[in-house]
Amino acid sequence: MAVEEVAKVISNWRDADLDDQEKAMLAFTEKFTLTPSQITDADIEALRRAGFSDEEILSIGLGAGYRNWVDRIADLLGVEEEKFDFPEEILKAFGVTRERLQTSLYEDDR
Amino acid sequence: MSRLRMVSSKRFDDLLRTAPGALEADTAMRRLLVEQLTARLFSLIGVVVAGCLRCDPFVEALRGPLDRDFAAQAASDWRSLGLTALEKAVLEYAEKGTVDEAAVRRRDVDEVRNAGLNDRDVLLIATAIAYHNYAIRMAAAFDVDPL
Repeated sequence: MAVEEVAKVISNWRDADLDDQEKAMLAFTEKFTLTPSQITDADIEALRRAGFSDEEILSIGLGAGYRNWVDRIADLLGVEEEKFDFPEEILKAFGVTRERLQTSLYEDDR
Repeated sequence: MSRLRMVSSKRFDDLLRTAPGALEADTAMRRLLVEQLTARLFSLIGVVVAGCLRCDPFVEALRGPLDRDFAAQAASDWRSLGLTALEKAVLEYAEKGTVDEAAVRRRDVDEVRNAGLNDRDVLLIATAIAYHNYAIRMAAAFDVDPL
């Protein structure tokens, strides 16, 4: 995926150039992350209608669960992100500057 | 029955059993965290994370050795309970790490250290918070009871 497209997915995946199946997957992933208690049978059915098998739906859940696990550990422990050379488009999508990432994640408001 | 056709029970382990390696990894992680943190602290983190995620029906499955009423109160308002300073610091960290994780800063980690935990303990606590955030979301998504 091109850097510009990744940036668009980060900032607003609904307007990104994704197919219907990918958008169904991201709609589920967003709900899984933000409001898991509101997931219903209809959300799983929407994934099936998009063409996913139940095994694939489980894999989507495990993938979303893994990211919720690992990214949370990074946030909780303040993993220093200056080691990652993000392209400008990605930084802009996240609303941060390269200078901001050059410092330790926690240095801004110790 | 879960929301997935190949899992005919409400059991989290049956759900994970359908994905190669997932149950083994999950079991090893939970065992490590319970052994290193104690069952009480692991369960306390779990019920508070469940409360933060509006997944209160899972409290019974997550409460482990905690008294039923105590666990329910921890999920709805843990600050009203008579907890140790260490437990309070851990639950502040767990709550922020669940509802506003991107806002966690060094001072939040320092608060946990100041309560008497070393860096290894902090790593285990962060892993337990993240584990419950993963497991409770999986249980909610597929309508099974967390372990």
